Amino acid sequence: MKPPHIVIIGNGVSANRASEVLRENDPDVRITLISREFFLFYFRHKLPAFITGSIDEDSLIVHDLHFYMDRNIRLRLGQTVQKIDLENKTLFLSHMEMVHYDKLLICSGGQSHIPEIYYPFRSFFTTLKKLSDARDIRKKLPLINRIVIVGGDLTSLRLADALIRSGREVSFILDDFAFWPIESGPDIRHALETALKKVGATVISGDPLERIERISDGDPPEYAVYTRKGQQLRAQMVGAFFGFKPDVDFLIRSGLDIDRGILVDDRLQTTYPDVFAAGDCAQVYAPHLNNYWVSIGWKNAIMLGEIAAANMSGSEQPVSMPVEQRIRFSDLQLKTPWWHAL
Amino acid sequence: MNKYIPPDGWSTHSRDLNYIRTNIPCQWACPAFTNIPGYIEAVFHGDFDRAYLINRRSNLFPGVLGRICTRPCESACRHGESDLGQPVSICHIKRIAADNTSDDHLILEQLFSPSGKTVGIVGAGPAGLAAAHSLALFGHRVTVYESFEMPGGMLYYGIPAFRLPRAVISEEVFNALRQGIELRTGVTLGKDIYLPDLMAKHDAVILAAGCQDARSLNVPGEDLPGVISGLDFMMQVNRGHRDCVGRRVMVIGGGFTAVDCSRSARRLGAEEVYIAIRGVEEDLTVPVDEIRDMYREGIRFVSLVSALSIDGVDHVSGIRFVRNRFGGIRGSGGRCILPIEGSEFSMDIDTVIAAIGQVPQSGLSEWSEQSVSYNPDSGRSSVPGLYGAGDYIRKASTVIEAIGNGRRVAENVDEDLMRRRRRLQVVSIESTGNTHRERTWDFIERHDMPTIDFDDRLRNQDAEVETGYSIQTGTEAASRCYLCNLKYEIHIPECIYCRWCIDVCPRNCIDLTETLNEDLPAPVHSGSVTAQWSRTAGVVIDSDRCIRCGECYRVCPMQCIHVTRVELQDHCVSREIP
Repeated sequence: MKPPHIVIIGNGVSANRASEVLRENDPDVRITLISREFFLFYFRHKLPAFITGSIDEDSLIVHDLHFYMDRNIRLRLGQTVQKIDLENKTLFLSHMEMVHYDKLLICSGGQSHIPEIYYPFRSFFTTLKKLSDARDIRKKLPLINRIVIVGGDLTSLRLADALIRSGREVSFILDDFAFWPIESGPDIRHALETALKKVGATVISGDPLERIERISDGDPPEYAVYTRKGQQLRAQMVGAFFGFKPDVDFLIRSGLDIDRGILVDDRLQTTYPDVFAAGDCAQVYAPHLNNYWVSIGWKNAIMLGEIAAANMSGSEQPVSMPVEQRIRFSDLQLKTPWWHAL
Repeated sequence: MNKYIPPDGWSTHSRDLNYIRTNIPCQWACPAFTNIPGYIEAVFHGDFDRAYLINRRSNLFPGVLGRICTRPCESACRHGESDLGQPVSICHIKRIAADNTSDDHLILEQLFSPSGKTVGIVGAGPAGLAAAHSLALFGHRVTVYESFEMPGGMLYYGIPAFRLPRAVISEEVFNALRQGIELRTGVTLGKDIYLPDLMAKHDAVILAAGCQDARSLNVPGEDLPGVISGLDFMMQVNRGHRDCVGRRVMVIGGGFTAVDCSRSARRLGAEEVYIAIRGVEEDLTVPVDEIRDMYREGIRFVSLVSALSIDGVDHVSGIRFVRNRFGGIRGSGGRCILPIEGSEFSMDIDTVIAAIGQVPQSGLSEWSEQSVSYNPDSGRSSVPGLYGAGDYIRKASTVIEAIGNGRRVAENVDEDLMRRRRRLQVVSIESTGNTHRERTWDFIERHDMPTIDFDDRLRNQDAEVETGYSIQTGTEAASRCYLCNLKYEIHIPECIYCRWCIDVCPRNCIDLTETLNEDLPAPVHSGSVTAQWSRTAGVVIDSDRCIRCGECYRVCPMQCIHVTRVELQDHCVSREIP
């Protein structure tokens, strides 16, 4: 009889850590990682440095292929799960292949969040979540001198820093959605504004984006960015950085319970007994918060991946709230729990 | 000639009706069975008058529904299947036809000669008006009794003007009433008129009084000042009787009324507006565009919560919730929602709008509700000559469902009065000799509906938020439609089995098959696909997967792929059906 087949959707932090733990727990189980991306598991926080050419693509890689070969983990890259048949435990891939699983772990991670108010301008926005996004930006960058960043999450701070160091002109339009995942108050807002100015960015605060117009179709195109109070900025690239949201669109109507993320219990199990979710896509109820939360960040993803793998192997480990950590930008240090209450 | 390729004409064969059901998903999903590919194709050709007419044959209010329809057609649209992108913006295309009809366009009606029968209809909402219009076409004298001062029912009193301008309602209601229908407004059943009198006066009476009693929250504090039902709130707003609301407003409910209340509250000056739902956003019956507009207007969802109590002394001061979790699937198929023990929490608010649904008004007639039963599909009741239509017998539903039901009930009334069926649904079949599409159109993205700026929405509360597609955008949006009413079939005696069609098919919907099932609506394979030449009986197109791209038609060296247009149409039985 064939050993059970565990399929993990995703190739990020949770997925990789979970696959590692699953293999440690059972040398025989068949493990398959399926990822939409074509790349090996990489460090996302290094993408800004990759964009400006400070590091090459190889430096981004966390695990090379030997990691998977040594652990007998099957890695399927560039394959998109289109649909899940939970009753028959079957995944439908976009190239029309069906994959059966005995247990499924969904680690589909997050996707760039564009607030609804800015949705009409989404085709003008550049976002940065995946290596493919970074490759696109890196390719265009030699022709780009002026960049407007709207929002202001941690990724954008790092990107702005890297872009300014590489000689680009960066303007920030900060608004109410800024500073995710940090709970921002007036003090933090002011401190970040100061820190951004210190690294050389032009900061527009208290004057949110009103509209964007594409004024030339050249290479690169030219955009006019207007604020509510009438300021006008010219840019060759407009970045939207409002943090991430769970990437669960492909699961809508699958039968799984979806709110903001995939609803799981404190064992990271969905309403289907053999289906688990971990990482940025999982939404967990925390009794002491009296609310649901979605985690973000590397350390949380590792923790959730470990717990999901342990529970898929038969344990009954509850998930615990992540501890507060510090993040640093310029000479500013901020605390964040790396989770987001809903 | 191959028997699967029918000649031009009409069919009432179940095989052809079944083809419509399985292969034109949008039309079958529409409660009024609107010929959606038909009017989209007319829009594509810039013939807005024809598009409007095609629409109006099934759906009496194209301009209205082009703005506020719940769009069951879009949920069923083949273009929205997971590997094909987003559904065609059917509703927006419907609106462009209504907005751009020429000044002198004709509304053509199929009028029967006068029958000498009279029908009384109680309620001038969508169901009542649809029934009245159909019965008037059948030649009956129709009188509509309406308790409010304006016809239109919930279109007028339940839906805010920023979603549905009053001029659009007025025009289409006027057109519905033009066939000699007598409208008596300000007349309330059980007060000004009585059912026995109506039954005596008319040959048939239809109760289409809608659902006007709000459901109760059944929580302590519900009677406090500051708590109002969603329907009452919207009626006050729409009648101009309300010009303010609290600062922090909680709307409870997940339907259109809840959304309308929340957006109206924002326009009346509420600073913070929340919508509390027991489940999650995915469960909402509201289109995603509407949800996006809500977010843009600063309205926030509080999902997975149930109200426990409304707090306050002289006025609402807060609301207490318990958080919910899903607990698997119930026996009835829905998801089980369970409270999480110890998860109670409170929010400070000063207004609660309970929009959790409506029920039919009780005590409308002298007969108790228990003593009269209605068939919700046919509208017939246990009392001869008495019928029900729309929400009154089907519980609160959507406008398009009410219209579809109103028309069906009218057909049954006519059948009972005239003792024969005089209008039938038939399938028209017409060879086209053309694919009418280009493959590149499949890759056009769905277009967003343009809207007015946020500030303008607050500045002019009645300003219509959605401004409608431009003609250019509408034409492009129409080109996205696969035209599922086109049926592609391979004429097997002419086929040389070159398999070029299989090679170019982008969706693997052409197969070699061992057997041909002649009873199916199209020669689709039924589990007999084969890769062996020796066993191949034919090459067939699976119409259910086919996206009508036309690649097979263009590449076929024998020109043995036939395209026919198959449409569901109303047909007067007096005309001959071959």
